[in-house]
Amino acid sequence: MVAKIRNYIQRAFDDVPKTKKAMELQEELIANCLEKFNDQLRFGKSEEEAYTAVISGIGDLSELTEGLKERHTLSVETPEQRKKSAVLVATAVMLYILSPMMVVFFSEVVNQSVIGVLMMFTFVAIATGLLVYNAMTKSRYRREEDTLVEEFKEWKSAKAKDRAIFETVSSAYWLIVVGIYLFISFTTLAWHYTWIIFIIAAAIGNIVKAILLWRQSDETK
Amino acid sequence: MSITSDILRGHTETIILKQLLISDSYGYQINKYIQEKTDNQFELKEATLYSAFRRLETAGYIVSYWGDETTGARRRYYSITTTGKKYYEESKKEWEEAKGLLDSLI
Repeated sequence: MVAKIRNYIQRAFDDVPKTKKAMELQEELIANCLEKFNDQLRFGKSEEEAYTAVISGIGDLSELTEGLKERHTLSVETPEQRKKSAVLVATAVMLYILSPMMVVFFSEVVNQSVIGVLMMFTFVAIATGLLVYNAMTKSRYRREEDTLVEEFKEWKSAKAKDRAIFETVSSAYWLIVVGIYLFISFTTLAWHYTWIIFIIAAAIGNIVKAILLWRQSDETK
Repeated sequence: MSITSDILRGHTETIILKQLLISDSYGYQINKYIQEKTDNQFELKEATLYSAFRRLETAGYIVSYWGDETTGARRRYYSITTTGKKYYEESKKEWEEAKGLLDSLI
């Protein structure tokens, strides 16, 4: 009889997603119904009568399970958010494209190559800032159900965001390196030495990356 | 009897809050109190009772926690919050008003 009551309740949850909330509700219902069943027996009812009393007392469980079926999956981006994000990315790309022109313009037209390089760096910095801001403010995947699948989706979404930030920063880094190379080469005219900048830049880049990864693995521990 | 139970069902949440005002409790115990107080004339359906719990919990009027029973299955207890108490007082006042109106009409 106990198993029959348990089965009756479990069947009502058959087509409900197996979330933590649903499992707890099921557990709660079973515990309470079994206690009622035992009480009925103690009052001198037969097992058959007690079972009938418990089952008829449950009522229509669909009103309870219906609420558990609603799923809200992705937190959808609103059109305004998408527009804002597009404006940010477009501005950043424009700044990247314009940045080398600053060098040309200032050194050829105004004959102030230092200002030209400074302008280029400023443009690159602003553009990178915009891209990072865009990636950081993107709506994150919000977890609506406590299942493994949801956890995986959340992890994937976090990973993709990390990667986007990393790629943005690293492309800006290399642009800056190229800028430094050109600037030093043009001012010193020591082209046969200056290529070493790229090797140094690669080394610095990898060291920074290693430090970041090391910190990250420390945090997750 | 059907009118009576309709009216009662309309106040399921206030009835539950009233029980929780006395002490923390769990589903079956609350239903047992209701039965005792009404001389076995009224009993909530489990589906109704637990739907009301979920609504009250979502609204922030009650919170739940799992008890640590040493024997048998663990129970989920409910506890009334401060906003829940306020809501109970409001509902009670509303009910008193409705009762007064009905008394003068019927």
